[in-house]
Amino acid sequence: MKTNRAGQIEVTFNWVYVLIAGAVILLFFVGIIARQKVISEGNLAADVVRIMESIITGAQVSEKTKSSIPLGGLSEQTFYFSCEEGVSEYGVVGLPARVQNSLDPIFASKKLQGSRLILWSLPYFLPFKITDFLMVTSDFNHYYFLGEGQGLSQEFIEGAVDSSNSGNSGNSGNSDNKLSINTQKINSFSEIEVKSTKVKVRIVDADGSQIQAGSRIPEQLLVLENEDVTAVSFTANKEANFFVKEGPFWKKLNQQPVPIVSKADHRDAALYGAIFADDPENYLCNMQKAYQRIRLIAEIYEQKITELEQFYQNPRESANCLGFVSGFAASEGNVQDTLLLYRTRARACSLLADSSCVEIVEMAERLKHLNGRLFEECSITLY
Amino acid sequence: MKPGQNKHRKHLNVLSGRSAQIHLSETVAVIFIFFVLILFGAIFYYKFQEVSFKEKQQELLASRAIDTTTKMLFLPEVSCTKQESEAEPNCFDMMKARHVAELFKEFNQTYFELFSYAKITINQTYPEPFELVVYNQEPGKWANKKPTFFVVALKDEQKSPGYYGYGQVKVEVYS
Repeated sequence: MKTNRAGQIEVTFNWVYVLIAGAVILLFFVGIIARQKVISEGNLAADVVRIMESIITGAQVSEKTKSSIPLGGLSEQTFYFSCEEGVSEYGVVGLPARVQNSLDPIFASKKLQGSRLILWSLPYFLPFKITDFLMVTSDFNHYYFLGEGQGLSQEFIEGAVDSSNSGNSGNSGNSDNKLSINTQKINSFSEIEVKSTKVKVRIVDADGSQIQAGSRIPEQLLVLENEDVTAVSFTANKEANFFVKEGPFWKKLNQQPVPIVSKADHRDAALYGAIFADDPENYLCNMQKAYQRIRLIAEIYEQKITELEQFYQNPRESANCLGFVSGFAASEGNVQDTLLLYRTRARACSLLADSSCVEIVEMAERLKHLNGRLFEECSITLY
Repeated sequence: MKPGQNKHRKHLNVLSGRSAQIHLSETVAVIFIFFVLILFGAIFYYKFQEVSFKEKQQELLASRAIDTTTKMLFLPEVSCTKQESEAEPNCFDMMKARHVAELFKEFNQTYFELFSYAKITINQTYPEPFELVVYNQEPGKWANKKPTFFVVALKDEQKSPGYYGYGQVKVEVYS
């Protein structure tokens, strides 16, 4: 009897022992797997963001070019682009890895989703090249242009559509082409078609007459989320007003019109930045980086002027050229004094971001004129 | 009970006790070997991760070298310009480049964000060789250094309008 009982206890104890030991070992391995999963996701996020950073660096320096990043398995993810206090940050929503950049202006919607990202780099001149602006959008973003805007609509659509696809019409962007941005010129809001609730709509009022604060949103756009319907309106004074959908009405985001600080006649990078940036804070934050850069570039050109001055002080060289560089104060001034005024305003603009930023445009015009005269008279240029 | 039966029962008890001890020892040995195998697996995994980590570091260093070189080649502070047209590719304006080192030093924080720990040197090969270090942020301790070279034209209108030399820009990044 005792042996039987001992046997029974031993068998039972064995099973209990096996179950407990097995459970502990299983839990141990499950714990390792769960931890590895978290580490792998973090690694993936870091890899994605690092590759994006490299692509963005390359895309930015290739001025006037568009590039496309197919997102593949990341098409369900949402990318975010933010800018606060002069620092841009971008990454994937919900993943820890992110990139911060306080030098390069990147204009994009706050949240982007799609099967591919489209990057468009445009140089910002004032009057010499300051930096490259990078516009980021996706194939889920649609841009509708109302009004001519003194050729802005046509120019943008021509640039947004990839010219290597000869089947494009003049009025709309071919969304099948990997490098084309979805754009369309419309005469009224009724021409807007919403084929999916995943799209983001951006309306550009090129003449500044169609969209006002409190005016009604087109009916077909009411199905979309508020943050997915935005608009920008440009005035004749080269100022921008930003709007977002709030229920059935437009809500204006900026209190004062946002000045577009640029002098470009063609492919105005600062103007295009206002088309791609969702809100005035994002736009002004990125422009702040450009203002900082203006100051740095102005400093280096002042040093170049010093070298030019030394060169033309040589008696063998033309005294007339020295006059253009740093001499006679004719009505048009000289390059050195104009550049000094330019740099002073650039410094104030980078610190205060106030009306001195607009005054830079006037200085830039004068520098451009003087640069041209310098080339005509002396076959040499400041820039 | 017969006397022989008692002895037999005692003998059986001793045998089953020894059997239990052997069984227990077997179990302990199995568990010991199991954990030794896990230890081997963990050591192997650790070594694999270490090699993988070193490879990743090299890859990141190469990527950073390319990024830094790209940024330097297209930097408006040194690029040759053609008025409002596109900048001349792969060309440095020496009248700007000679002063850019001071600018990088004065605005160290800004340009450190751009280039990080790196050394950027312009070496003119023709007509007169010279070396110009425009940026140098070497960390106190570094394990790896990756140099990248790129041939550039060096425009120097202080010598005469339209004067070009050529050389290379060397970008060394540290990690």
